[in-house]
Amino acid sequence: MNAPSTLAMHQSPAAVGQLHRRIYSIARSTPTGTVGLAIISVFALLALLAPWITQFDPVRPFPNSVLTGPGAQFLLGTDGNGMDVLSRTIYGARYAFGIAVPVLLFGLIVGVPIGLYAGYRGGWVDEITLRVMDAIRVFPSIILALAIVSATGQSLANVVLVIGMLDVPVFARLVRAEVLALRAGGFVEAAVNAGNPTWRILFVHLLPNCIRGAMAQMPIRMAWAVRVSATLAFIGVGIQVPTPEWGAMIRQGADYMISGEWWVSIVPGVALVTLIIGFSMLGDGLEELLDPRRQKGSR
Amino acid sequence: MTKAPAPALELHDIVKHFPGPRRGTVVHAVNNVSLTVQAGETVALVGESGSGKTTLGRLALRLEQPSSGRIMLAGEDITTLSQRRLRLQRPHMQMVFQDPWATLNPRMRIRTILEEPLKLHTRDNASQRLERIHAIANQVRLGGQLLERFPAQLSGGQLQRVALARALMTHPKLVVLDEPTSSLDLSVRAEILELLISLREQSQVSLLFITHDLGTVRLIAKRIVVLYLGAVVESGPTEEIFQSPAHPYTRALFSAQLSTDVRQRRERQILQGEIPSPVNLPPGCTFAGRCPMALPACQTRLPVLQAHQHREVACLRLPEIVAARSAGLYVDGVATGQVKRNASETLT
Amino acid sequence: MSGTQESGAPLLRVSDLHVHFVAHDRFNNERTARALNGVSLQIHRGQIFGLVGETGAGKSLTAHAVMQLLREPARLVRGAIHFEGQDLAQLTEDDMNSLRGDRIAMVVQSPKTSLDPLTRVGEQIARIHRVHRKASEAQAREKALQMLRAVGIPDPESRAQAWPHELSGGMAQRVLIAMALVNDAQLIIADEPSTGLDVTVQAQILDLLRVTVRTRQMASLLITHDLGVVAQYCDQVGVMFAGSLVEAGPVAEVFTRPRHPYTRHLLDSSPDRIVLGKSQTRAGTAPDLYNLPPGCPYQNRCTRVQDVCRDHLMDLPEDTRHGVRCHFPETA
Repeated sequence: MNAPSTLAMHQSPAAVGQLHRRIYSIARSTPTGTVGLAIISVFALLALLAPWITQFDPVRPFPNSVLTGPGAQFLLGTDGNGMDVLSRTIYGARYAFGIAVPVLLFGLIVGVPIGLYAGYRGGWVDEITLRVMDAIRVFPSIILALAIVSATGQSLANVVLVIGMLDVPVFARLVRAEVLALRAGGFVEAAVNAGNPTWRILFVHLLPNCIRGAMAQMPIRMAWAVRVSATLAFIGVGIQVPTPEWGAMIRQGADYMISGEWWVSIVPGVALVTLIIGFSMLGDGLEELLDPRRQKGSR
Repeated sequence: MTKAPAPALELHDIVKHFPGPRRGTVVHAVNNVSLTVQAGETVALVGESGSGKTTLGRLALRLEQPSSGRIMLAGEDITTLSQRRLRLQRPHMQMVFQDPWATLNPRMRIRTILEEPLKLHTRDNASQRLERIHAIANQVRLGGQLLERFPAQLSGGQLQRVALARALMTHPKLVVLDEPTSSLDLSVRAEILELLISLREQSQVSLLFITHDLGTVRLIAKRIVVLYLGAVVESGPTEEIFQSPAHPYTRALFSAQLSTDVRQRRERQILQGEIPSPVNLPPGCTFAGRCPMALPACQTRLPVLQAHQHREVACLRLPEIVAARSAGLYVDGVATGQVKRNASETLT
Repeated sequence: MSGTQESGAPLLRVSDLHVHFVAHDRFNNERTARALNGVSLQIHRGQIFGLVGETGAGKSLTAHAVMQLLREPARLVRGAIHFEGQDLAQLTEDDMNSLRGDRIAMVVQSPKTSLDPLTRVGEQIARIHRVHRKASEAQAREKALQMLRAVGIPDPESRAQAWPHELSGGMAQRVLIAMALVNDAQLIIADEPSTGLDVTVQAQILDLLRVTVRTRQMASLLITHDLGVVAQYCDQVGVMFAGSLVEAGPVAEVFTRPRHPYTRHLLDSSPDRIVLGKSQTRAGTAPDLYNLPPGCPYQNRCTRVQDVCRDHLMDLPEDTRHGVRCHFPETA
């Protein structure tokens, strides 16, 4: 008779005492998420500290040491231009995050308000929004990104914008679904009844309660952004050598695979795959944590 | 000589249609309902599912737009006010919803929830607001320490009191309560009812109490309006109607109430069939299909509310019911299905 | 404590049922909730036993325990459930499966969500008959129609073709009852069967239940929070609080001369008995089953509490007509 609604089952921010114990218990309850977070943290640190921890300038060629294998001087070898692979790979993390984070922000800042408003208004506003979002999602993303970036120019900003736009429908739909669920329970009505103007209903009441679903998606979208941008660079669109971006590096190294100089592609490739796995694991972990069913026992 | 205060709420000929589940169908949720709540009065709106009582409550506060009719709040016509103008009226008309779990923001502390109406509608400063919060919290017997908690940490009864407190923050003239005790445990219901009564005495606020539970009605409402499939079938003073309900539906409704007094195990007047869907309303009286007293005329002629003593009843056979009552043919205050015109003749 | 009235063996006899919930909190510590603390009751043929209490009292849990439907983290740690002479707690899952839906049936709240949305209702009834009685399709179909008629559904032939979402609440509840009766169940457990239904429909369903129990000389365990339902339709009543059965006996007696303070409190809170102004305080919140104090669970709300109540929870007096689990029961 008194079962709290799905709304109330979202854990409320109770007193924050014993922070360490909470963190420890959260970590223990999702090993996947913890490992993912660790991986991402390592890469983030690498990206941040790149200028100080790399041995060589990533774009400085050593013409005498072109395509040397991993060894004492160049820990992971050099590429076709004689540039140190390890340094380039570490700097590549900057590009990975430098794309993933802005893309995510774009997707959130544009997608979430759209989802909020569409869910709140309902009616034809909602219908049209839904169709537009669906149209964007239905497009094979790589093809779309390819077309747009080729047409508008191969700059970092363009890549971010295009990939970010592809994220918008994902967040919009997620948030809209949560808004609809809340509306069904009378949540919006109660806010209207109290006299809230629309903007307050959207951002003070709905937003904090709808962001949960979006949160678990964030690392996954970041993983996707990293992958797509690398793919674009790999096919020759977007960023190119000598910029130390993993996709571009893999592209360059593809030519040398057959002749045996495997490290030029494999090293950035491993970095790419590892980071993506890290994001995915974090996403899984967040999904586990935020699953409303898990909250039942703790009330 | 001072003028009597305007009625807190007046609904004139309210009609509400919704588009139906299939194309071209219409759900007739409310069919020409008029009702008035005087200042300081408590009126109970009673009915089962499909009666339109919840819709009517929301229409009264314009949380829903009527298809036609007029809504007057304390003498002001609010039927066609713009959203912005309507927001200015919100402090005067408030709602307590049925499910406090779904209608209070779980991410806000109780104090913030209570403060919001004041921030939205008044120019009070922070300490004035706090004072008001404490005053109301006291009135609804909500302990001060609960103010800093979040909704998930309170019980159902406490939450409902928060909802009530929030509604009272801005000294509203009218508070609509939609099944406020239905989701609460038995022992908590009594508390809330007592609370409502004491609040009413203290502040002269008018209450529109929507419920399907007749037991609570008798305790709290001076007048009762009985709805069936979107139309008023009977309305009048609670005590009178409880003593001798006139409309056949009201009688069946009362008969179906289960008393905890074991000695009152009586034969129940069991209505046949179910409540029909409000999509295909039959012409004539909506109750004719299940009425134990229906005549062929009832299927085609729409009954109009007729006055009888202090109440109004919408039944074609009202004159006979009245006659039967004065002839003393009502048993235990609850009429039987048969009405004898005279000792030898029986109308069914 | 049984509230026995009839002589002769009861159809169902629950003895000293204890159910614990073992859960792990976020720090992986084990916490045990004593969800049922010694529930005993007896139901004879032709009787309806009403189990009443507020949310969390353990009424539904008792029903599930009787049906042997407890799943982790709930465990039956003590007690016996004698049905037609057998102890259900000792049966294998297979044996229990053949009893459920056959000789023991359960009817639940929210009938529309309990029915299989993808199967027509007639077929759902027939299916149960086929599975348990190995009947042919034609026989099962005929039996299903018979049942629909028996529960008062008009025009059963066309109704049998209906999908669950097409039915009203009352109609769906009748279908559930039909499903319970199709294999001649001896015991029907009805968990809040009329809650959520319209008042006029409630009366129909409860009437149907009573008539069925009397004419077929079955027994029924009726779980509800509505005292009016118990007063009007039950023969025996058991009052539960925080996992304990605190009072049991014939309805007429328990409701006119309640002995346990909680029973008294429940009755006084019923809308048709409320005397406003009389301070009913100490309603409080439901006790936390993970942290039950030793002794009587009602101690923090009771106006007559003494030290002995905090130390020692009375045992169940077995085989008394009107039993109460209180050191200081109200005397007549």
